[in-house]
Amino acid sequence: MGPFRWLERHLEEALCCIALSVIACSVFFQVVMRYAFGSAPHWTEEVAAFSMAWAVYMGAAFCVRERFHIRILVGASSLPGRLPIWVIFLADLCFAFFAAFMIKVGVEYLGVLWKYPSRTASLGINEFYPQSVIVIGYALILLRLIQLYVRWWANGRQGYPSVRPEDMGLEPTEASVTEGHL
Amino acid sequence: MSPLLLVLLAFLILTLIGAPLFVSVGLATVLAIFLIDLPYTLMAQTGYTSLTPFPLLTIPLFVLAGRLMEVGGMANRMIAIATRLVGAYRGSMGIVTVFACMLFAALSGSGPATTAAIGSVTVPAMKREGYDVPFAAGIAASAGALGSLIPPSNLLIIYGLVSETSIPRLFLAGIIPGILVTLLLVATTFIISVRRGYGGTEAKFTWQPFLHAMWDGKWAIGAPVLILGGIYGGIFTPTEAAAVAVFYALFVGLFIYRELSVKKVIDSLRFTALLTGILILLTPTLAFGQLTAFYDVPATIETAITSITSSPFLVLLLIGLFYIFIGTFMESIAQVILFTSVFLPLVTSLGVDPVLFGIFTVITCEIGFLTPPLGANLTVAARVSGVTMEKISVAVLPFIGAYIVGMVILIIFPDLTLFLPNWFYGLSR
Repeated sequence: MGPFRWLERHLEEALCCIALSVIACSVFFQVVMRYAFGSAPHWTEEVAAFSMAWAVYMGAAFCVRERFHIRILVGASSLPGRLPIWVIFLADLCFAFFAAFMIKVGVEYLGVLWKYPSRTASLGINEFYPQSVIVIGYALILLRLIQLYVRWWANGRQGYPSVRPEDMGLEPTEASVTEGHL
Repeated sequence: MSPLLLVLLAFLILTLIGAPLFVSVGLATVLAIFLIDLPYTLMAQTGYTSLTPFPLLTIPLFVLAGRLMEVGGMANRMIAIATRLVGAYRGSMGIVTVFACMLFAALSGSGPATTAAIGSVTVPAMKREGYDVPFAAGIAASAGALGSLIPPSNLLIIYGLVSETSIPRLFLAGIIPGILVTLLLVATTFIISVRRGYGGTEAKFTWQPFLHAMWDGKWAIGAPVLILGGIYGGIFTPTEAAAVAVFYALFVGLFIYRELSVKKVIDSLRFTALLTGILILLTPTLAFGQLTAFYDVPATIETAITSITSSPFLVLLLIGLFYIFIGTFMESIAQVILFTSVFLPLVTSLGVDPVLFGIFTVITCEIGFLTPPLGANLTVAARVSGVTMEKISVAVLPFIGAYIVGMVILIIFPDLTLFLPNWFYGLSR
């Protein structure tokens, strides 16, 4: 597998896993420092909080790819005939619109942060950089959604592009079985 | 049409056509902002700031720790202890399942994870002893739901964040209700097993094997002692406890039990990544929460409900029924995020303690775990037992009954829930 293929496949989950590891390590480091050296560094909370925002957005893009986002599908799946798929198309159109809207709003917001830079309390980084995750995150979410449709079209339009077959009352395919509920 | 009604309608339609929940809330919020002509950049701003409060980090950390403990061999030690503890009775393997779930719930903050960890071992064991398989799976599904009630609990953390209630208080409050529900589930299992003549062939209870299993599982038992002892001993905050739990699980799994591998650690991280992604739902919900000056949903609901009844007992019962209904098709985490801020102001105005309402919310969510079409524990139990979800959802009915009895007892006797936190921290107001 070439590096590009690997990134295509694992980019968001890798970034999310790294962010999660950073969270765990910095919070743990904070406890250790407090008890071992009597003083906790200030930057750990800030680093952990940045990482959390990044972990959530990267995780959200990963969830699109894995068709894991919470959707209420009892309504759509109980419709007759070919209606369910059209309803899902409509829902995904709204999804794409929302992602595009958030990218637009995010760019405006980041523009303001760029023009009037403010620095974070303990590390003194420009707020622009950590907060850029909003645009990057929604861009990845939108790309992953489009990718689901492209794949679905290329694979002969079987089932549904963006929801799991078992959520629509169909037999699960091998690829769709990953567990995980909170 | 009033603006609030328009926004609610947009949310409902989007949800019903199957848009991802965060998109439904997001677009409804965009509409709400449009109607009162505020800047849209509010969406982007809360999109970042709502994810950075320190206590929020607790959730992925506990999910990760729980997963590492599950795949790292702690679940098996918990089952061994429970097996020696119960000894020979009618239905003892079923009762073992309930107790093992209770013990594992003190490591893990998740109901479905508890079902998976314990059920994948005890359901086959019950099968071998001639239990009806859907019944066995029903025990695992319903006892697994304890994972969300007995601290640490991911749902209680989410509730604490959304409602601004102290998480250590909520954790303490979950202990007695957790034990109460455990006993109710044990009683249900016992009665059904006696009537059907399951089990009863194991060794009688004796101290020696029990103490041996306790000693063998000391590292597993040590986890809740470390987590809860650390929080209540004032050594660390819940978030820090969660990070300590991650490293404790890594240490025990890699060096003591040696059941963790690099691959298992990476898989656990990926699993946590998926659940972290779902938290994106918080961002539009909290953005909408900032518009309460214009759209006061709680006040509207309050007027509507108090016009019917103002008895706290009846109001809680109504909310309970609503939650159970919603829980049949909505994931509990979404349920807690979306509805807590809607109902909490109402019940607190009637004199219900927010801590009690948290426990109440989680118990109704647990019933939601057990009801089709969307019951996370049923899905997991179906997978570990190999029978269909439909069959399990019938077998689980008596256990849902037990949960409902537990819920009603807790509403009638609030002190069962509030005694521990109030004794430890003093009255909240």
